[in-house]
Amino acid sequence: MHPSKNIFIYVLSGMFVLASCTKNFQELNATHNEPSSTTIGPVINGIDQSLFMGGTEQGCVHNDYYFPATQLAATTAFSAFVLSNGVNEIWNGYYGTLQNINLAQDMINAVSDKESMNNIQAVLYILRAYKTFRVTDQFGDIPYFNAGKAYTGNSTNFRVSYDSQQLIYDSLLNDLDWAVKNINTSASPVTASGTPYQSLGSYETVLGNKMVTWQKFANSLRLRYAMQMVEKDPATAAPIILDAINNSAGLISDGGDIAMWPASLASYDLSSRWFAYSTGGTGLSRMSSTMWNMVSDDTTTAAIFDPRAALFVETNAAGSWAPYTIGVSQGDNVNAFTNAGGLNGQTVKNGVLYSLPNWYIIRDEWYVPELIMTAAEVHFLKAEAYARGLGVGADLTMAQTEYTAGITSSVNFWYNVAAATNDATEDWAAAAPPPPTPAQMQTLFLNPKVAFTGTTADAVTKIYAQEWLSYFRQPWLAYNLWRRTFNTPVDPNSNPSSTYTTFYRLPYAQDEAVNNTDNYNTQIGKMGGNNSSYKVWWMK
Amino acid sequence: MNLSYKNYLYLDITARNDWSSTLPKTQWSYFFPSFTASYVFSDAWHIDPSVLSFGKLRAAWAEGAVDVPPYIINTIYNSSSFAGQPTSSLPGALPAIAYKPQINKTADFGVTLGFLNNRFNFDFRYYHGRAIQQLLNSPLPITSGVGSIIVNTGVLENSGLEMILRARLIDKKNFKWDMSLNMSNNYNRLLSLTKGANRVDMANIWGASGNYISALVGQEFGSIMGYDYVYDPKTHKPLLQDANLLMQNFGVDANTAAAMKGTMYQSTNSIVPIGNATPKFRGGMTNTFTFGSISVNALIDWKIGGQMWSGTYASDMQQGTAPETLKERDGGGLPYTTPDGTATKWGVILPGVYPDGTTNTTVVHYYYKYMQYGVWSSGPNGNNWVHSTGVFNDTWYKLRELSVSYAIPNRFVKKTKAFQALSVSLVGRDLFYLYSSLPDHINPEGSNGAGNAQGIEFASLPGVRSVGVQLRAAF
Repeated sequence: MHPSKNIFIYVLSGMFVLASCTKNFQELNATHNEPSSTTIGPVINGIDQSLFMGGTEQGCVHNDYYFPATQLAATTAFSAFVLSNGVNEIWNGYYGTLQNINLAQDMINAVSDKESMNNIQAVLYILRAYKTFRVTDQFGDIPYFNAGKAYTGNSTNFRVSYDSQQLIYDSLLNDLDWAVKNINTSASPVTASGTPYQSLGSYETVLGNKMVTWQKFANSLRLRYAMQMVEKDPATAAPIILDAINNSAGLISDGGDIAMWPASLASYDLSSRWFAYSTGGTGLSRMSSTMWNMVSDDTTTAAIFDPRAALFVETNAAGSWAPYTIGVSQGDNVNAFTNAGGLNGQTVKNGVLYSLPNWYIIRDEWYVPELIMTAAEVHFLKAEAYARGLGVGADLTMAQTEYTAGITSSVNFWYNVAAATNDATEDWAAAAPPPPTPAQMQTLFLNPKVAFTGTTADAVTKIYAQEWLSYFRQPWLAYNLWRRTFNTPVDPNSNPSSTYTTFYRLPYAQDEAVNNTDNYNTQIGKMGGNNSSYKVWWMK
Repeated sequence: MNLSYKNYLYLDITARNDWSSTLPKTQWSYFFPSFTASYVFSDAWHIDPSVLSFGKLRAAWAEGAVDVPPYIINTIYNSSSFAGQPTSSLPGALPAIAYKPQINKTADFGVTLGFLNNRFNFDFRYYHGRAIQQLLNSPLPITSGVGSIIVNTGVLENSGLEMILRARLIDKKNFKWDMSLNMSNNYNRLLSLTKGANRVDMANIWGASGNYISALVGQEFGSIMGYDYVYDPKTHKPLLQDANLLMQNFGVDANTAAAMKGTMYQSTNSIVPIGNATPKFRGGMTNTFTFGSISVNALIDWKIGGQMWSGTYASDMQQGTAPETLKERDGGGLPYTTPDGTATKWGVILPGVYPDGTTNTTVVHYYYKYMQYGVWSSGPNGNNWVHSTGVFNDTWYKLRELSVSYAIPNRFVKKTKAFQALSVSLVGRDLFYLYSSLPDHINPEGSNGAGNAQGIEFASLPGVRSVGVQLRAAF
């Protein structure tokens, strides 16, 4: 054989040997620690988890801005957080979840008998509506309809334009309407063509996949958000308010409060709240004089008329009730919460001059829930609707009934939470006073600041005041109420700076300026800048 | 394969095929060759070595290929658990559509010359390369659902010059002077990414509130991106915020806005190119003087061109620790009356114009002159950053090394019966800058990051000078 032929054979067989090494290539390069496919259940459970608020969101956006802007609480100085960090947390969290919501929607769309997905579709609509309302309420117009779709690979979805808050509201309210009408609460529903309904089963962790509860939640959200837009678009809002109050789905009722209960979420460690007040927030939150005025007649313990005072706030280091008047009180720029661990951490107050939020309500990580929507809120929304004749006919008697029920619901709710909160270091159940007696409740209702007397305008003001107070752990809802009505309590002695009095929205995340520049510029061009003094659509 | 012809013409050819499991099945196998040719014309033409002792031309064309990191081609979901049940979510970066090996093709030309029996040597190289199918990460707005897209279609261009000159300038028995000089220039450009992607970030400080070192599609590497003044298109002077803008941006009423006149510049909404960190040339020169057994060696190196954003300078200016901020505090400013009625010489006029075209003449407190240098946290009213005030040309010449060595004479060394040679040197390294274009003694080499990521400096430590004694022994 000619030598060159030999070489050719050697090279060829060498190539063959090498090529055969690729036999295990696919197995070698397979990802072993993450799945390559998924189903809708785990995706929805991930969205469920995203209902928790972030620590920086609470520490900066709530404690530094929403609490002092609404005067529901005060802060002695800006925390160690920067506003943009809180903004980024809300913004990134929402849009990171929105792509998973869109992915879940794709999975629903792929099912041939779509009716069999109705209950899952309703849950997805409700989750999307709740999350999106929260974000548009805080920022105003936002990218929504085409947002969170880069995962499809279509480059037109890489940089998307901003959608008007009004269109977002209309769309989400339609989705909620669909959810209320299409949730099938039968035990084992089947479609018209006989297919059994698909169920999320145990993957749905927040409401335990109880479709009746989901339906009431959806209907209650319709009431909340129709009311939020009622000053701007009463023609759209009023029929929704009417329908939400009267339809057969019902609303969240006493004891049925929608919340993230850590103990029932496989003992979830809700550490973000304590983080927000202590580590990063540096313990600068104080009891505002405005809040104190709504629960007490002077600074003696005997003058407290609202039983919630004992659960919401506590005395300063000297054991006195010392409310902080926003823009007037001075000093006290110290971390009130220096003893995070250990028994009796609540007794160490680092010499603070002013009263504080209650230790247990912010320290507990295992029992105190993070609230989504309470029965008290529903009562106050109904009270307002009846007092003002929004959707339903004006009826001050009904308004008073709902108003009284709202206060009662809020008081009971917090006393129930306190009684159930008992872990190794935080035994609130033992520290909290017993639930108020009927006589104590009577004292509350008869106090002139609470008694449902006077003109309709007085009644509306009192409804707002009690609704505002019931949001002590939902400052973002107090912020919505303040911006909508500008009729929430304000201490006449306070002197807030324009940072708070014109804080109408969160500025967009700067990531938009850098990476979605054209759409961002178009949007802020309409607004005259990315300013927090710009009013969102539903504000008067 | 190595071929040679009469020892003056050479041709090297390599061929290589790799198989990589990290690529998709259709891309497992990839082939890349290289060719190198050189022609020693001094031998071919029998040139007199006392004139041209060595002369070579070379040309090369090479292709290199590398695979992608393991597992990245797989579509996966992030998984975790919540409330005792599994969760599943899409990843935060959009994967590339099709993965291919990353290929780099470079053409290289060079000439090597030696004169006067190699007393003077000269080497010159020019290269031009193009890298395709590059794996890069390009940012997307999080409103898309992901923070970035992985691109496997990036095209980069890379070209440059290198030159080395070595000479023995004086060659006497008791005195020799050797000099070597090198210069290089490199030019990198990002030619394309993929549809919808526009930028690759190499470095960043403080996220979207700070500066980036980026490559923009179609542009040279090393762009310093940051916030800049807004310039009046007619006068090309920076624009100040008028009363309307102050009311919008600070949520103040008309009276407050009037009182704030002349205090604030306008700044760009987004980051824009405010400089480029890529140097024009880098180089170094070594001179060695040998007097018998004593030799003195000096290395000077330099960087010419290329800019840097100095966070140290920005902070020093804003916080009043830079010496130049003393001007007004020492009474060198314009007459200015403080709100409590004190007459001072603290006043400044921020040079610029208003949107209506009028020139600013309002005297304000010096605070407003210096405050703008170092603002990078966002308040409730959006951004008012200007980063371009901290951008400088970063050109420097440095005495990198100076050493004096003494070779201990052989007659002493041999007596030790242990050593073949011994020398002792006094060596100083990083001694001082002969020239630096940066203000306030900021470390010209204090950039955070390396390679293409250079150009951002913040709170860098000063350079460290070292002096030592070195003993060299050969056994």
